[in-house]
Amino acid sequence: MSTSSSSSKKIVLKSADNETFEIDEIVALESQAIKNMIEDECADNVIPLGNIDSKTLSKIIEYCKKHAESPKKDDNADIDEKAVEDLKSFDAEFAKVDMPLIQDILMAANFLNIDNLIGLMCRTIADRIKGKTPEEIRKILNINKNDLLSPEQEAKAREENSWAFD
Amino acid sequence: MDSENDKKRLDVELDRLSSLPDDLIHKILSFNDTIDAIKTSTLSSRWRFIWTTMMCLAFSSEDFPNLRKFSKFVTRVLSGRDNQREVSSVKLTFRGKPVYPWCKGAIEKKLTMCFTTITAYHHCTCPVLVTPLELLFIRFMGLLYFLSYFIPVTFHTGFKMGSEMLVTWGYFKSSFIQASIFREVLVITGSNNFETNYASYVHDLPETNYASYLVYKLPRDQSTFEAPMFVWEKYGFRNNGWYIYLVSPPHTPVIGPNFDENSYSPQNKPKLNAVPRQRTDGWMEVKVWGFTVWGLTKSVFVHLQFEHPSAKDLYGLIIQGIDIRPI
Repeated sequence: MSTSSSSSKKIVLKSADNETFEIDEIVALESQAIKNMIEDECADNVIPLGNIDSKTLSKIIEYCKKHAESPKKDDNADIDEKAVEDLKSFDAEFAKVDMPLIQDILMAANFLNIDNLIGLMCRTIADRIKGKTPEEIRKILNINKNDLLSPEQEAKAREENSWAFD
Repeated sequence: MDSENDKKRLDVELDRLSSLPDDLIHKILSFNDTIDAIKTSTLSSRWRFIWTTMMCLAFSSEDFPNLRKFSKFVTRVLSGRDNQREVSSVKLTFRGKPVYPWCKGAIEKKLTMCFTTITAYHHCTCPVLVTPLELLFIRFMGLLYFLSYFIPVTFHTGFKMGSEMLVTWGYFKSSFIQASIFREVLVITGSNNFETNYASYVHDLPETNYASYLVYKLPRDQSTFEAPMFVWEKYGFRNNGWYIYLVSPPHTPVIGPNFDENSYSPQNKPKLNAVPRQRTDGWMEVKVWGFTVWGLTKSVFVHLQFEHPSAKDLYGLIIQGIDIRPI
């Protein structure tokens, strides 16, 4: 028992709603931001993440766990094809969540600096708005209504870029 | 005060994406073609000019009824974007008859010297001679990846390695194999290496031995290329690789006890008589691979990786392509 706990150091993350998550250090290192904190030794026992709620954080930990377990591409030249496939299908499954959560994950991943996850979320959003009309995109992304262009401004934008809208 | 903050937070919560920095929004948009990015300019004031600062552009002729409209579009994008922001990558996808009049003027003016990565996809469904992509003759600052999927055709393109221009006239000949399709990808993965990936589909043939030849030219200064190039099958074991010569060694490489006399590489294991020879068309060729086909439908996949043994920059190497013919 004591050997297993000493072999893998634990990190505790605390979400905005004060839920704590104990994870292996190796999992936490998927986040470049946390990695830097640990390296600079400014990480206490508990790392508070005041802008990430527990729902988002648990998703992110799920992602980091999976990716930390998988063999890294640059570890050796002979990449295990099956592991790559496995990770791909995990990512596809992982991204099957609603748009607010995707946006939350993207923001949190950006804050935590998890490159792969940022890419996955960006790709997911891109896929969902691909080929959609502006009206549909506004709905999908829940664009801030206070920020909408006035009808005149919108007409101007459309006219300016009419060559792209034809 | 609190209610104001709450309201602010609510807005942010409603529209998280708009609060993201530009580069993340760019990243999202860069997964789709640039035309989709431009259409976001009417979403809201946050999105109004976002597309103009995108650094990754992607154009696909499939979004347009004809190439004239496509080329017009590309020109408009290049003139409409904020040219203070460098372009880091451009992806071009063509399909159909290749006529690219816009490459010369528009792109040369706008984009000279600002690429770090270029990806040109060329889909050609008709077996015709493809005009050179003039676009690719512009001086770029970084690497160029050239990918191509096609039915037996001749294609020409130019790409560069390292810090100087490299022009390539690529063609993969398959006329010796009837009813076959070659799909190929030539990728420069670094300044000291490149890959050729192609597959051939051969039908109903008697047993035949084929050899693949790398067709190339060297720059005037051949010193970099005197060392034998290391070649291996990308999905095989690197240890099973072999060496080919792009410059004829001063002594014919010897296999066996005297082999260490070869000053180029004591580890050298030349197979396939990998010594270059002059072709009648002015190019050099060296045999890089061989395979045997027989019987019914047969697919042959060749993924070869070429690398300079001491990781030198292959600047100046001109690769015409892979020639496959029966031995």
